[in-house]
Amino acid sequence: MHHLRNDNEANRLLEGLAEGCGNDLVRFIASRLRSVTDARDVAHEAYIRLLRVKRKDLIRDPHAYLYRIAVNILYEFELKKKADALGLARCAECQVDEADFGHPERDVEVLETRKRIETVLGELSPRCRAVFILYRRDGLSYKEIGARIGISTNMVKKYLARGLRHCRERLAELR
Amino acid sequence: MAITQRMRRRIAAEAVDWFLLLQEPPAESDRQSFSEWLLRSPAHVEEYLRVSCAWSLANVVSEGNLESAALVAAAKAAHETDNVVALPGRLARRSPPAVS
Repeated sequence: MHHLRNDNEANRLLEGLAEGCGNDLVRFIASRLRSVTDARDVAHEAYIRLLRVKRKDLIRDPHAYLYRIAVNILYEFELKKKADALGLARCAECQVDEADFGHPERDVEVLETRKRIETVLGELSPRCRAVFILYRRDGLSYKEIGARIGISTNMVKKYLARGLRHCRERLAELR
Repeated sequence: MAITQRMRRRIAAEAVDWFLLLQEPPAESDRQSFSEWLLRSPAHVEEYLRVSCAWSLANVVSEGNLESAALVAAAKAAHETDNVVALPGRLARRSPPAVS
């Protein structure tokens, strides 16, 4: 099994996992999943590797295992893709030097992603949107959010789940 | 077995419930149930990764009508009815699915 090329980076990311929900690691996965041909293949391979993890270890920190495994798989897919591309380029005798390109496309992509996210959150009802953003961005607790908006903690949970389901449906084009 | 659109939505809803439950430091029993849920199907793993990614992406900067105070004001003015539409079969369930 291949490992992260830069193990320090991986360890730093995993330290973040221990403290919270591993947002850095997930951000990495999100950015890579979009460039991978089939996210389903990644998930399938991750499933097989999860089955091999000792149950006791998995239960101790299922998040860490899942995300770490996904990151490893994405690296392997990427390495394979690069190798394939290199092979093709050699065949055609037209190797492209990536360094020759700037990344204006990437900037455009970042802007488009940001706009898209605003649109998707804009589709939520005002209460749902407020609950989602106050929790996700501002890190308020269910209780604090309920008090500010004047709804029960129970309703906060429901709006939050609805908001995330909507984001999942509308931000689904991850491949 | 092919996953129908309806099954996928149900799995997505379960993944969301798990994800939110695990945002707060989870109890041992939750971690165990979650592990078993993950191991039940590759589709569960896929949805959980997708929900994680959606969560990671779904952040906005605080400006204009996306500032906290503006969001709260809009929410208060909305007079929404409190009946959040739930997916079929999910109304009765408060916590993620029990291990079968």
